[in-house]
Amino acid sequence: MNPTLTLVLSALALGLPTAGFALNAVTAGRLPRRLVALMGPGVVLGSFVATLVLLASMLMQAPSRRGVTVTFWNWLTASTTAGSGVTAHSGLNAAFSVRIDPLSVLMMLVITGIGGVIHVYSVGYMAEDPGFNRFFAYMNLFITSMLTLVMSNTLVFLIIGWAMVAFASYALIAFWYERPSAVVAGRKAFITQVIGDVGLVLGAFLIFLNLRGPGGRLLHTVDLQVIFANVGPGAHFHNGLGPLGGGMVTAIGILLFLGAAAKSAQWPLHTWLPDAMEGPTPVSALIHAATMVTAGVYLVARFHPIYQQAPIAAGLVAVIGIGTALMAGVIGCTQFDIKRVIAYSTMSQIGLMIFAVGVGAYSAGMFQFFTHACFKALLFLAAGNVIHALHDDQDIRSMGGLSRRMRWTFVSFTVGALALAGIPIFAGFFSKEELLGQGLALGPAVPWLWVIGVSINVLTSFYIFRVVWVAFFGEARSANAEHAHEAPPLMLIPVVVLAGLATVVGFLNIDFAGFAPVTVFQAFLQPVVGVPAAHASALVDGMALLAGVLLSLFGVGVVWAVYGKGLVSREFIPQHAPWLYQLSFRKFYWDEIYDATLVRPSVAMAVGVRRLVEPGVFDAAVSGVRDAVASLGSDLRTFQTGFVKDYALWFFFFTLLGVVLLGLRLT
Amino acid sequence: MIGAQVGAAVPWLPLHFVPASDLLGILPILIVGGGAVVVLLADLVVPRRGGPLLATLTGVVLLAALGTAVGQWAANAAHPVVFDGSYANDRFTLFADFVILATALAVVGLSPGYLRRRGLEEGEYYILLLASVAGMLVLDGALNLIVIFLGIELLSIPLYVLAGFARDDKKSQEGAMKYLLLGGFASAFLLYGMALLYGETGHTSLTAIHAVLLRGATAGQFDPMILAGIGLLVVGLAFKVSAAPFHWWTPDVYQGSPAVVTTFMSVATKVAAFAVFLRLFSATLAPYRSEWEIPVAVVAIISMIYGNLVAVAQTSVKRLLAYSGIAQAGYVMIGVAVGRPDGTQAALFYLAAYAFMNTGAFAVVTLLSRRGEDCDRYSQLAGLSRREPLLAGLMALFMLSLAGFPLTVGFFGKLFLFSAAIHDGQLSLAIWGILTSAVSLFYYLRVILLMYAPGEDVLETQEMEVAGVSPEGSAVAARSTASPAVLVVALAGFGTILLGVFPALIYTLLQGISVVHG
Amino acid sequence: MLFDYLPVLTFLVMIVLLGIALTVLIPLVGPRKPTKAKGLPYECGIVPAETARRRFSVTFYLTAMLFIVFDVEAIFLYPWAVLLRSTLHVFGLIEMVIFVALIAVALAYVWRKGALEWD
Repeated sequence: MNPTLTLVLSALALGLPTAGFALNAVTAGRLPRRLVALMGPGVVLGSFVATLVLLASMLMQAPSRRGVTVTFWNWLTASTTAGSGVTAHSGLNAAFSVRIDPLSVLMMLVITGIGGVIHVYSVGYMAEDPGFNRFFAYMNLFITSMLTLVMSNTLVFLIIGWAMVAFASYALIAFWYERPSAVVAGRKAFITQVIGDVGLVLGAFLIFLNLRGPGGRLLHTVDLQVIFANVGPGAHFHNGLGPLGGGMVTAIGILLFLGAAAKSAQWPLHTWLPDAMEGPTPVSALIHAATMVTAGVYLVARFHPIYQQAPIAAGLVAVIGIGTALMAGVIGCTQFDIKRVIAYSTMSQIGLMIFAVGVGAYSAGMFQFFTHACFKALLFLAAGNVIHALHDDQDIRSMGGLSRRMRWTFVSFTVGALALAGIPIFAGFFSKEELLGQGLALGPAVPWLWVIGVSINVLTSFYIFRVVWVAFFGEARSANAEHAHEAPPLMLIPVVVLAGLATVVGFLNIDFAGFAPVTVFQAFLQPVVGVPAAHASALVDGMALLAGVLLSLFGVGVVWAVYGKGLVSREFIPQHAPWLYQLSFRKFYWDEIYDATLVRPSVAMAVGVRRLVEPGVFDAAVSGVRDAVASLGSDLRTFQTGFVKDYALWFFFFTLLGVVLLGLRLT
Repeated sequence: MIGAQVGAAVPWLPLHFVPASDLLGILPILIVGGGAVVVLLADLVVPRRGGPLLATLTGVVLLAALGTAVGQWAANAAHPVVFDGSYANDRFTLFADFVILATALAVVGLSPGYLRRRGLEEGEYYILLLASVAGMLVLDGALNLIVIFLGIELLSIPLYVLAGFARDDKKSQEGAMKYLLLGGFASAFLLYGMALLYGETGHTSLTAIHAVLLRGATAGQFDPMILAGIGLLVVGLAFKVSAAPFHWWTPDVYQGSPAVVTTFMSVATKVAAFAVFLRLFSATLAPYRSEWEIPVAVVAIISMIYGNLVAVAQTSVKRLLAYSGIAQAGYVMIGVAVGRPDGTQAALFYLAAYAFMNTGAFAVVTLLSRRGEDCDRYSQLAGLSRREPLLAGLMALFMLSLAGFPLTVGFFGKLFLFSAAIHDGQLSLAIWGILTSAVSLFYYLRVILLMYAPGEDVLETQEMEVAGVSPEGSAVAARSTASPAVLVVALAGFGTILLGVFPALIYTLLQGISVVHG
Repeated sequence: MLFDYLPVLTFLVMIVLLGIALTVLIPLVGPRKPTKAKGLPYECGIVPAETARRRFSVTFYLTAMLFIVFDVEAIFLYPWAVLLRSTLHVFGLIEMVIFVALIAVALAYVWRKGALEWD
């Protein structure tokens, strides 16, 4: 790839949303709305175009030459200032450089593409909001942060992007800052993110401090390419991270995953995601469907050379992924808030992706990410239309019969549901079946993880079609639902576009020309993540596929039986297994557990420290030091008498003292 | 060198006596020196109160010199040593030239408005300023003891006069007198040190002295007379850079001098004196490093401790900045003590950083100064954020930078110095530096607190009304006449942040700079 | 090596001793017969007309200082003139022209600023 062109394009892709944010922030809401309505989505779509050109120029290259590192500027160079005769010492070189390769371009495509569509939608959704300009400033900042995260070629800027995403999501979730629940949700999200940040930063430090290059020399590098080049297979004899599965590399893997888990809302850092639905619906679509929550998947995929060295950590990732997927699926079945159902479905789907990258099916995980971004954004935006039509009522029990009043939205939502459930020809079918098939082949010796993964299909199709049925069929159960109107075109067109995407993007993966087992996505990502270590045989693959589809259809059937025909009572589970219903309805009690074990003790401890330790120990210590310094300063000040004779005397005295000391030294 | 050539049978073409390359090598000095004469003559013909005109002329002279220096940097002469090895026009010199000339330009930008407000509009101000700058330019490239002394005196004597430029102000007179007496005193020490060095080595050329010292040091012999000479050099130069315990003049003179002069003195003098300090110690006297390392480090540590501690007890802005200057001199001394190229580069970076943040801080003081007196008492800063939000913000920025906060240039200045010290194995220097930086927060933040704390400017307003000044303060009134001054402050603030985010802009310039003898 | 400086030290000691000896011995040995004429200030044999502790105008000092400056510079011209033809040639001429020009500037400055006017 032409380096200059790549530099310009990646600078454009990153710079446009940044400029949009900066302009909105600096003018502090004084820009006319009309301009912001053009500029906000415009910069993101411009960035999308730049990414498309990048993709095109990349596809013209041979697969092995599709990775390019572009350095914008050398932010900090604190090393190898070796003059003659002085030994070189290594040190921190933090260049702001970006890595343009298939993985990052895929992420950029989704972030700017889906993000751009959501921006357009927001123009309609937020049209009445007084914080219109502020909203687009935050949204653009979010896109910038995400792009920094996925494009960065150094640990330093990866962490900066990582933290900026946390901040931008905080600002967006708590966008309606007059609502106490929104502020609390934003705070919860941010604190969880910071816990993850600590893990990521510690992991990065461990890499920085321990990584050795050939010959056992400590590298002290933050350059991702250098890091990956030195942790590859066989490098563990010199890389300082310990042998395969050794303590150091396992620790790094787990610490990095702590960061990934916080971003991707995986157990045990998952509780922020459903609460974050307090933000405006486009925010939910942008953050919780398309971009931020997938950062964890990206991180594990990007750091796969390290996870390949750490099977224990990778296994842990897979187990947590599948566990979270199951748990979120169960919870999703009993929620009544339409956005929360989708949120739990996100958590569940991300869990599947995490499972995939944990077992080493990187391209399958990324493909699921890609299709999921389309249909999940679709679901959120369609849900947003419904919520908008019902004047911010999010409870599915007060909906009903919307299929007649909001025909387009209904069709689109159903497409999204079909794609999510993995019904054939829709996008989710291709990605999920590939993911599960590869998981079966690659997964741990016991196929139980796969069994769990496949059975989640039942839950998935159940909870999403439950929403479809309850919200769109039957009779309207509230005045709002009776008077619901179809959304304005500005909000409908993005939804329809996404519905089209959710129908067709699955076919992207099929190699129509070759009928080869290698899929298009896998071939595209191969220069970065390599090929999976094993393939399932055609028979096993076929069986897995069939089982998955049948289970999905079974879930739809259950919904039809319960909500459509009333063959089974809705109270069946609550009556026969009340513990299961409560467990699901109360979200496995994690909020209560954290509240009792972490939040309350922390608050109590903070109050105690504030009352007892703070004044007695810290304030006293601080003011003690301050007083000591101040009084010492005042004492020393008396030397400054203002008389020239004294000054000259002191001058002479110190010189004499020096001479005497010199004399003593010589003797 | 003239004598050496004069004896030969030379053609009657004058240019052969002084090669053009020699003149080119000192072109910035010639421009500034010639400029001083031009400004002097201009002062005789322009009408009285022709301040802005003279300031413009001075600015043009300084700009021309700066442009020449930049051009010479770009041309990167192969043989930078001129006049038979008595002056080096290398990148080290040119970098110091940049800092000195830029600072002088900033001061000239600040001057007209300030001088008018304080009623000090005299043409001599600009003449003396240019003369002093010429001395600094001589000093930073000097490769000969005599040239060093020439440079020091040429820079000092105009400064003595400038310090007392406010002739109606007793403090200014007192400061000037102290500066003159103690400066003479210190010059004597310096001269004595040079005499000892010359007496023992038989040379005044730094290159030749270096060779002699190297011969002795490799044989393991350290001449006590030379050691005494080095000790006296440390004393004399420590006085010039105002490092403790030879700093006594600094607070009184900084406080007494008109604010613009203090600005100039605190930055440019320090840069020039440190240039010669670095050249002498990291190149000429390097063979004796084992002997002078400890004394220099001790002076650095004492400066850091003393400057920062006593600054805490100050209630005068200018004295605060004076003590902060003593402490900052201590930090730069770390670079001298480390010696090697990375120490030199770190010291140069710090000086450049210091030029931005300290010029900025003093420039704010200058802008706030009213008729008859400088803005000096803490109470005059109280509530500044409401009267002058922009100036208060910038002042806060400069304070943070001086304290070494990240994302300001001061952070990287300290980072490079401390890391140079650590890599050199002088851990104690870095530790003292970090500890005293923590102390320094105490008084820098107090200035910020003062400006931003609510409800303390009532008294100030009354006081000003009594004095017949509008409560909006002088700066607003001054703004119409002081737009170049505002520009200077804004540029200093911009540089402080820009270099705090992209330190590489300057640091890459410094890569590969090391002090040479030619 | 420090031994080389022994003569200097001896010299210093001798001077100090001699000084002390003279100041102590003269009052002891010499006869003292003070008269009024002997007690008068010495003014080259002329009888003093008035007291020596008189106030001078500050302009006197200024003029005197300026005189010294220009006087010393004028003295500098003498050795230059002697050596000009034999050693210094055109180079010396150019140098002196620059030097004199600078003095002329200084003179112009002093003149224009009114330092030469008595009042």
